[in-house]
Amino acid sequence: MLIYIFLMVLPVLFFLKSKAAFIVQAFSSLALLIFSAVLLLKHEYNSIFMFHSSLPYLDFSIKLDSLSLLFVMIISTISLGVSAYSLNYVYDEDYHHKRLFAFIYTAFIASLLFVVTSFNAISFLIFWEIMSTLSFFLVIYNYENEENRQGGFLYIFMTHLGTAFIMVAFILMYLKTGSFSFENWVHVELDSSTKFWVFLCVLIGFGTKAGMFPLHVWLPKAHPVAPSNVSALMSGVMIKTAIYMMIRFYFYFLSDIPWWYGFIVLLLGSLSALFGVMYALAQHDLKRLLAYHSIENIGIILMGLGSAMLFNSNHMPLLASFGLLAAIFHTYNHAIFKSLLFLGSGATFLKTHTKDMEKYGGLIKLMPYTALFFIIGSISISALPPFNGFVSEWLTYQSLLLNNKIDINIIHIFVPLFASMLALTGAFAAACFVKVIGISFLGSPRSDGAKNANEVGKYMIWGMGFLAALCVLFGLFSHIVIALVAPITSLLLGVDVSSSTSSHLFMISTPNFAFGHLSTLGLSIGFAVGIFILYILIKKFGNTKTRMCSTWGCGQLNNDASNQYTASGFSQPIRRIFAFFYHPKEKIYPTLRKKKYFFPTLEYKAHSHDGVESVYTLVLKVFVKSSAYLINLIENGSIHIYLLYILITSIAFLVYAVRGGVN
Amino acid sequence: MFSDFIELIGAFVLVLAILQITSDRLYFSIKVYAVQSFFVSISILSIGIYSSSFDLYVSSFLTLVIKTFIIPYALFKTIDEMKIKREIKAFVNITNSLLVISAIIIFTFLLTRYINIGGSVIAKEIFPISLSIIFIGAFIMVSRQKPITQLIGFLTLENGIMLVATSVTYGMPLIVEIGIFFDVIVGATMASLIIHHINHDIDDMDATSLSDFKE
Repeated sequence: MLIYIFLMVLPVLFFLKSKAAFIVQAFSSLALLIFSAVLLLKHEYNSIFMFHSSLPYLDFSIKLDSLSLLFVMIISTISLGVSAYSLNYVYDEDYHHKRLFAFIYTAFIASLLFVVTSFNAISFLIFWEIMSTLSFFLVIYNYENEENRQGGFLYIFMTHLGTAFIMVAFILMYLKTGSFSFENWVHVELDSSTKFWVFLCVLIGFGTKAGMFPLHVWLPKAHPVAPSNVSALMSGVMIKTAIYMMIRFYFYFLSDIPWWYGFIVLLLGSLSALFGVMYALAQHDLKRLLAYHSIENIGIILMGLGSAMLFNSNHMPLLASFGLLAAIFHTYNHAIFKSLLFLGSGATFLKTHTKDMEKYGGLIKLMPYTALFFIIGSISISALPPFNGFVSEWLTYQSLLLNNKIDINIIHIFVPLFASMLALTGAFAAACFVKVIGISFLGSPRSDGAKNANEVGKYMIWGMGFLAALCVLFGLFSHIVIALVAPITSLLLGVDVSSSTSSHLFMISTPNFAFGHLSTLGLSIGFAVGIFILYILIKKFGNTKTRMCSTWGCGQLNNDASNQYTASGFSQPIRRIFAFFYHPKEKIYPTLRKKKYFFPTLEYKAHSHDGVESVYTLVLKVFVKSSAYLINLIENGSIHIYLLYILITSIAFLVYAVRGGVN
Repeated sequence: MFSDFIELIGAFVLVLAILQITSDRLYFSIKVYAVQSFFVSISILSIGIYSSSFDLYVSSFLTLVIKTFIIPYALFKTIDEMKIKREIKAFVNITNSLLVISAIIIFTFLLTRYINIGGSVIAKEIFPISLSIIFIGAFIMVSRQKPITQLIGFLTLENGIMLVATSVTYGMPLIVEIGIFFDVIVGATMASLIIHHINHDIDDMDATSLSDFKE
């Protein structure tokens, strides 16, 4: 236990030597990963470490149960990859104050680890706030840029809004149980109204952190402006801590929840998924696109969670454990492939010096390893077999479809709708990453930056390669993850999910009802054989006459890069079809005024608008305006008026006291 | 019998507070304040004799020295330096002020009928009297424009507090009272200094012009 805590804080001590800090961080993450996996598989957990301080209520307690251990695994997996990546990235980007960066970075990872292992509300809140604040500093690390500061401020505002709701939930739990320790909160008996408020506050509070629709507005602003290794951590890991607490509350603390709690989570999840992916499609800033995909994937996780909650409230623990498996599996997967993609985008950004996808092109020839890993990540996130994203989304599907077993009419009506929304999400995600790969890695370079790109340093490649290898590993041998999740389901629901899902080696099947089987290994072998046969057939009988021309050149032999297909061109049909949703603003205007009639140079700009954001802006504008008016009215700067306030207040209190307010 | 005497003294203090409202000359205001403080010190002294408490002798002596002599002297100096005799640019003129404070006095007497003071009470009627004085002081602070008059309003308010603290019960602990005296002294000194500076810098002895400095 003490070894654990030691490993968590060890890298922070090395911050004076920034390079050493990253190396130590990588190794301690590796050690944590192995320890946690071993502990989980050997069922040796539930050890607890208590530290009582002299202040009242302030106790630190750290407990490793199966849920915490799995999230420790997720965090250390990502931090291993990202720390290796940082060894090159931070020096190649040449950030100023590298020691400061190393300190905040390592302390951030330590706070993440403490958040998921804290077993006391107060110590949880302390580490939660440390985590939020440190990530804020990391977001505004390049603070010279106006956009960075704005994104950072929006982030810190939203995250504190969420923390306020979390505190309300904790205080409600404290009032009912008389204790801040999570031990005493387990399956606590609450009356239905308190239960509802706790549910709502947890949903809003942690939903803000997770980037759930419609509380996601900070995510597409903060993630793109942070350094890439930090966005990988934030998007991959930090928003997962919110999922962790949601699982804790909805399956561990609250008991006998009504079915419509799960339904609300399911609904919000499906909305986030669809919304996130549709806006992702319209972006051409690579990192902002990935940020919107985070919203989408949080949505998918919430869908799995919601369906598990539905089963749980209808007393179907086996199916509930299946839904939970889907949610946690997707959490792990999303952490892996989203960090991989952010690292990849950081690598392209490092070499081309732009985040605009329209200026990339042809990078696959110049940065082969980065391109390979990025493509693996893309296939995973688009939920295509045989990689890990496919497995967890397949589980989510099955779990959604199995919801038909619940005998409630509304669920019968809505569940097919949710499943089809998930399908639409998958399709859009695939389209989106076809766009990313096609525009940025294929074709020929569209700018000087892309033309002069070269492969990144070896540590960056190792970091990305590690995560890419995990994508493949978890895809082909998904039983590893199921074995890791099994202790969690037996902790939360009393059912071991692994015994019911694996009938044959390397094959996953849905529990009880022979609804579907999946073996990604078999699938990929079959796929490879099929491709081979097809190749032979084409060679043998096909038209073998080939003509070489550049990619995206539409078959014409021209060499001008600007004639290629563009990212906005690719997504233009979808933008048109869903115009009611995007409110696109498209404009063509001449760049040079005097050449208006003779060979004008035209520029085309497409901009889509986040509808939810404008709602927020409107609300804030009205609020700020009215409160400014009120403040101006009350605080008009005259001493006499202030004195009058004091007089009136004291008279009012006197009257109140006399009128029986105080005996 | 004794309580009647204390209540008589309290009535004098109240009358002086009302007189304070009607005055529109600074010298006169300060003199009224000095006399008022004198009556407060007599009230404290008599309670001290009645209850033979040494603390109250000290407190009475301090009231006499500080409030009847030192503070009025300092205020006279300030006024002399600033060469202003007449002031009282009031938001509420004297006639209306009198109406308002008569309403205040009726209100406090009505209000205190509902209050039950536990423990041994020397003079029950002192309570509404001193409450009225407190509110009159606050009213002076609100309704007068010049800082020096506001300062006098504050001092009147403080006299009311002193009266209620010593006469309704047997006084506060000595250390608290000494603390209050220091507060008053420091407050009066600071205020005189600041008033002096305001006068010097913006050539206008008017607290309303302070709002020009707002942000």
